Amino acid sequence: MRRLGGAALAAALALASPRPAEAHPHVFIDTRITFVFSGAKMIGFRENWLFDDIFSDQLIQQFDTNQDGKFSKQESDGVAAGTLPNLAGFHYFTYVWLGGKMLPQITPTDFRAAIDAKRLVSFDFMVKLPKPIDPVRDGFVLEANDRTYYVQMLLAEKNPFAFIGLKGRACKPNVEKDVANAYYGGFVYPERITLKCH
Amino acid sequence: MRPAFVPVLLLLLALFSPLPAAAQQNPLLGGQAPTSQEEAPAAADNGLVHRLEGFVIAAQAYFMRAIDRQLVAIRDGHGLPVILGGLAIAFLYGVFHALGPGHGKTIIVGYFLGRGGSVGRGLAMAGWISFSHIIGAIVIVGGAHFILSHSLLTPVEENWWLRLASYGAILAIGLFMLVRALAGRGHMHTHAHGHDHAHDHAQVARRRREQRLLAVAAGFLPCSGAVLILLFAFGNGMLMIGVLMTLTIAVGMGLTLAALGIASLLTHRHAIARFGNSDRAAAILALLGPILISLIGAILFSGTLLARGPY
Repeated sequence: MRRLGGAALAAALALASPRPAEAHPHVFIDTRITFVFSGAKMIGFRENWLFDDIFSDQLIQQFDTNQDGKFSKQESDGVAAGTLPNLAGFHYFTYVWLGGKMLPQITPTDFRAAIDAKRLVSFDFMVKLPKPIDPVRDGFVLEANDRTYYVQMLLAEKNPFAFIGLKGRACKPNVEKDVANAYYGGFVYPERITLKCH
Repeated sequence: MRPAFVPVLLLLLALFSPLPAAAQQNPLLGGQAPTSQEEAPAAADNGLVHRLEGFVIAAQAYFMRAIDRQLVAIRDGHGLPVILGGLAIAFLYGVFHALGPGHGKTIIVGYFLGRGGSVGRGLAMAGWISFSHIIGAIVIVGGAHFILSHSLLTPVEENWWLRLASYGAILAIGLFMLVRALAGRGHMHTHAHGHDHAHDHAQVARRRREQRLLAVAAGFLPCSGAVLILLFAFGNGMLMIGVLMTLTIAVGMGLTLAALGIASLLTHRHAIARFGNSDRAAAILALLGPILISLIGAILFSGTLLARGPY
C-alpha cells in the first residue's frame, strides 16, 4: 500500500503545480546607478539601463525611424513616448525606501535613449527624491527590478555605481540579496542597494 | 518494486514547485501592469526541491542570454564555430526550458502516470509537444514577417485567448477521455477474458490519436523564447539559422520530456503489476489518466480565466 501511496503522492504533486506560468526572462538589462548629490545632500539618482542585443535590435527596428544607427533627440522622445507610459504600471522597475518607507511613486525625468557602437540600446533617466536627504540620517535603499521577471535586471558587473556632486561625506553602496522580497515564485532575489555614508 | 521508487522520486523533484503565477507581457511594450498579488513577495523557501527549481530557472535565464550573444556573433559573421556553439546552447536551453515553469511536463507526466503506454509512445508524445511548441513560433513569426512584413513586439505566447484555447482544449480532451473510459468500463471485464484482437487495434489507434491531440493542445502555445530568436534572425536576414536554432531547442525539450514521460509510464507499469490483478484496482487505474488530464486542464483553464481578463 505504501507504494501506491508513493505513486498517488507523485500524482498529487504533479497536479499541485500546473498553474499558468511563463518561462521568463526574455529581456536583460545591465543597470548602472549614479547617485546625484548637492554637497552632502542627496537629491536623487540616475539610472542607466543597458539592454541585451536582441531587445536592442527590436527597439532600433521600431524607433530608429531614419535608420542611421543613432537615436536623435526626436527619436529618443519617441522611445520615451512608446515605453514610459507602460513602464509606469511597473513602477519603472524602481523601488526606493527612505528611512524604511517605500516611495509610493517614481517619476523619471530627463529621459534619453541611445544606441552604442555595439548597437546596444540604453535608457538613461533621472529620479529625483521628493526633497534632498541626508543619507546618514534618512537611510537610502534602492532596488531596480521587474517583479514580473519578464525582464531580468542585474547591476552591471563593471562599475555599477558612480557619484556626482558629492562633497563633505564618504559614501559607499552596499549590495545584498533581498531574501524577504523574493519574487517570481520566490526564485529571484532583488539586489538591495543600501547607501552607507559617514 | 524498489525500482518504482526511483521514477516516483524523479517525478517528485521535477514537478513539485510553487510555480510563478500568471503571465505578463513585455512591460516595456504594451504589457499589462501586474496585480498586487503577483507582485507580493513569496515566502522564503530553502527546501531541496525549491533550490532545484531555482537552479532550472537560473539556467534557463543564463542560456537565453547566451543565445542572444551567439546570435549577434553569427550576425557579425564569426562563422561556423559560432553557429555550432549557438546550436549547442540552444539544445541546452531546450533541456532546461522543458523543466522550467510551464505545463508541458505536467501534461506528459499526468498522462503517462495515469494512462501508461509504451516507451515509443512516450518518445512520440514528447516529440509532438516540443515540435508543436516551436513550429507554432516559426509559423507565427514567419507569417508576420513575410505576409505582414512587420515584426511582432509582444510575445504571442502570452496572448490571453491563445492560452485559454490551449488549456480549454486540454480540459476538453481530458473530459472526452473520461467519458470514454466510463462508457467502456463494462467492456473491460470481457476484455480480460476473451481477447479481442480487432478491439485492441482500435484502442491503440485511439490512444495514439488522443496522445497526439493532447500533445498539440499542450504544445501549440508558441515558445516565446523561440519567437524572440526568430524575430531577430528574420530581421537580420538569418532565416536558416533562426529556424535551425529553434528546432534544436525542440530537440532539447523533447529529450527532457521523453525522460519524464518514460519515468511516468514505468511508474504506471509498476503500479499495474502490483495492483492491477484486482478488478476494482484495474477500474480505478483506468480512470486515473483521464481524471489527471481533466484536472490539469481545469486548473490551468480556471487559473487563466481568474487571473485576468483580456482588457
